[in-house]
Amino acid sequence: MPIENRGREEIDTSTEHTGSNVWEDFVQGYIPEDPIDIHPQLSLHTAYETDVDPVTYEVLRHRLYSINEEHGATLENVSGSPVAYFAQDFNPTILTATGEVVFQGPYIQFFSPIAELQAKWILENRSENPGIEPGDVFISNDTWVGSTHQPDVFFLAPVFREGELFCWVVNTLHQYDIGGSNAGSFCPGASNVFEEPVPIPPIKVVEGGEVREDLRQMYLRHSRLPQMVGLDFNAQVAGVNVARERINDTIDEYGAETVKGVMHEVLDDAEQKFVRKLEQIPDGTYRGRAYMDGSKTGDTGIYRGEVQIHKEGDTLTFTNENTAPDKDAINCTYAGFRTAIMSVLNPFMMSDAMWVSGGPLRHIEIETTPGTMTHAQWPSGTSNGGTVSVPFVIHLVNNAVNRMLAASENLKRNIITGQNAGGGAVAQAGIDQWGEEFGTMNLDCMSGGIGAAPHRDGVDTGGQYWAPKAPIPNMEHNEQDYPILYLYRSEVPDTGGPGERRGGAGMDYCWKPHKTEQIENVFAASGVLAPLSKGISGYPGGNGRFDVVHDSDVEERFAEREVTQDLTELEGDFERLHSKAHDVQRPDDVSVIRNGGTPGYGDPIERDPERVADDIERGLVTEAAANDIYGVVVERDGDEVAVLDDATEARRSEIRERRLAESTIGGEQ
Amino acid sequence: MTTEIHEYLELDPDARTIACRKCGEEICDADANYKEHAAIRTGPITDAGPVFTPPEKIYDRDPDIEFRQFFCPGCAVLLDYEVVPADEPILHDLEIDVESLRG
Repeated sequence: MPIENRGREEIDTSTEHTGSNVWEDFVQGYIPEDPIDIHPQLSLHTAYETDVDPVTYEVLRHRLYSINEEHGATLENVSGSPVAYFAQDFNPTILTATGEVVFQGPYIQFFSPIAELQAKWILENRSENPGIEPGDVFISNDTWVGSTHQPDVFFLAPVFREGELFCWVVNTLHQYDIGGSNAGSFCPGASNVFEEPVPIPPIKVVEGGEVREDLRQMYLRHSRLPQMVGLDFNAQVAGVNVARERINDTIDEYGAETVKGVMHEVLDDAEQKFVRKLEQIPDGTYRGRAYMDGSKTGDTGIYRGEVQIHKEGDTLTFTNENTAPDKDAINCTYAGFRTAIMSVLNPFMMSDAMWVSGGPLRHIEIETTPGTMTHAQWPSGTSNGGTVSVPFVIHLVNNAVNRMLAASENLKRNIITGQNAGGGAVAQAGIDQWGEEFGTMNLDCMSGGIGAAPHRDGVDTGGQYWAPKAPIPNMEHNEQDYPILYLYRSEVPDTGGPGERRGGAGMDYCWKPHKTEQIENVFAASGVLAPLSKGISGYPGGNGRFDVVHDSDVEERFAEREVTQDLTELEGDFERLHSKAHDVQRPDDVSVIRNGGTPGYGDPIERDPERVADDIERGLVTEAAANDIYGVVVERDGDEVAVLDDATEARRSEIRERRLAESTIGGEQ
Repeated sequence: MTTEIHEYLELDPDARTIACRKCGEEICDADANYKEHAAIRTGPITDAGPVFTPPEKIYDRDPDIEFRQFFCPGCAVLLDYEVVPADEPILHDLEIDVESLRG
């Protein structure tokens, strides 16, 4: 059996170990060098088989993926917390010994590509003191090391084989509350990180299989809900323990060199698939731009974000020139920018090796400017990273990648015009229906449309493409766990961006407090002022919003056995809130949040009129939009909608004439 | 031999031009920003559809956001749009290295 020690897991022992520059990492964000600097007292398992037979390869490839799936199922079942159980706001990851992502789970995608940063940082800065040993587990939520925002907490466990570090198993789980100025721990009113949950750099919280109770208590002590976070703590330890045990079982059965050989082949295969696609894209620069509305609660500034993709040969270089400086609560760190890239590239370009971020990352360079909104320096606020800033960067990357793929006749089919054009999350807290304190993030925020493609319409209320297995909770579950009563959820007409292929429609969710005196709602979003996603040629998807009717007549309507299906029907004081807002909701106050739709693809006046008529019948397009934007004239007979062909042709001709009549020709100015 | 670079645009690396795929209208040089040579219509964001709120009704000031549409000057097909503060430049978001196509 030929055994080869190849380059990817080589260790640099040529210089004295110093690790990375920790205090610079804590300010600028950790960017690992290649190779990383690991203390020589840590032995790595580096030998692997290079000619695993194809059957064994497929068996082990699927087994490793399944181990990762079982890791996720363990989180879901052990935790018992609604965030884990009903919304699956987590992801498990398997990494090589030196930190490349071999497999990420099918849940929240942006947790996994930066598990690499966490593992590499631990290798560089914990391999000497306190050391990395069998049975250890490290905990971290440090955004400057490698987290999207502080509530997303990583548990990282080394897997050892005969005294050598074989690989890492990692999970990331969004916590209900780990402190900070707002319940729920994303803090849209923060001016800096000192008003947010404390970033915890990687610390060894389980030592040789024993939980360090002192450190566990220190961690839980930050939270308003230590019992809930304690459940998740147990689930996260159980998750890595199960995955570690399954990896060891697999090694027992097949041998360490064979399992390691499969890991490398999985990575090499994903790398080759990515490179073959890059060969089909013209070299050039592709750009995406969008605007963040408000830097914190009460601010009405507008802040530009931009991403450039420089494609040259087999490398993509991502930059963030022209992006606004970091400010208040709207920022993500280098880690957030990095993981947003893979959140787009995996579904757009790696559907044939979607869970193997380590392969494409070998051909991605990132050259961002520290001190910007999308590469924040300490002590800027980062607690809204996972809910606002990382999805914002996903928009920017999405917009640029769409232009890149549109330039490739072979790859344009993979375009997804966007994620929901605006939206965010609402953290809710107060006293629940049993008189106990509660706090949560309403995970209805995971709804919204999925974008269109050149060959199909978008998916109405399809969710987030970067969270393929993360559902929204059942309303009944939310009503069971929290003191809220839903009035409705509904798809919203005209939020699916018009196009030859229509974007996916967004969703409203409407609720009022129930069996409680009040609920504190903290809203953190972007894309409320203007839509963020840009398709190709179509119109934008409808953006997000957060509306409240204070002192409404909802209870009087209930008394008359009337359930409102539209907030605007209510009498009361209407308010449309900013994208970062705080609202105290009393029993007569009714709130509705909109998760936006997605842009269309292609010119809407090229859309088949029969499809427009069908959209009208399904309540997804209004007759006004059909006439004004699609140029489709219909007549209605009950529920039936019929296209008037001659009138439609005339209307579309009129639209074309008006377009040119109302335009200026740029080159002639 | 032209290359498709967008649903409605193609680039001729020999002539170094970008043209409309629907009508053949030559829009600009290959190195230029095609949007700056398109037919450009600007209006309020409410032109993008009935679900959009005038920004001044959300903020207590008018942030002067505009909806720009870029059409082929020949056949009026919609090429792209931008939703931006009015003082922002048109973004050059599609910049192909012509030499790489010639290679």
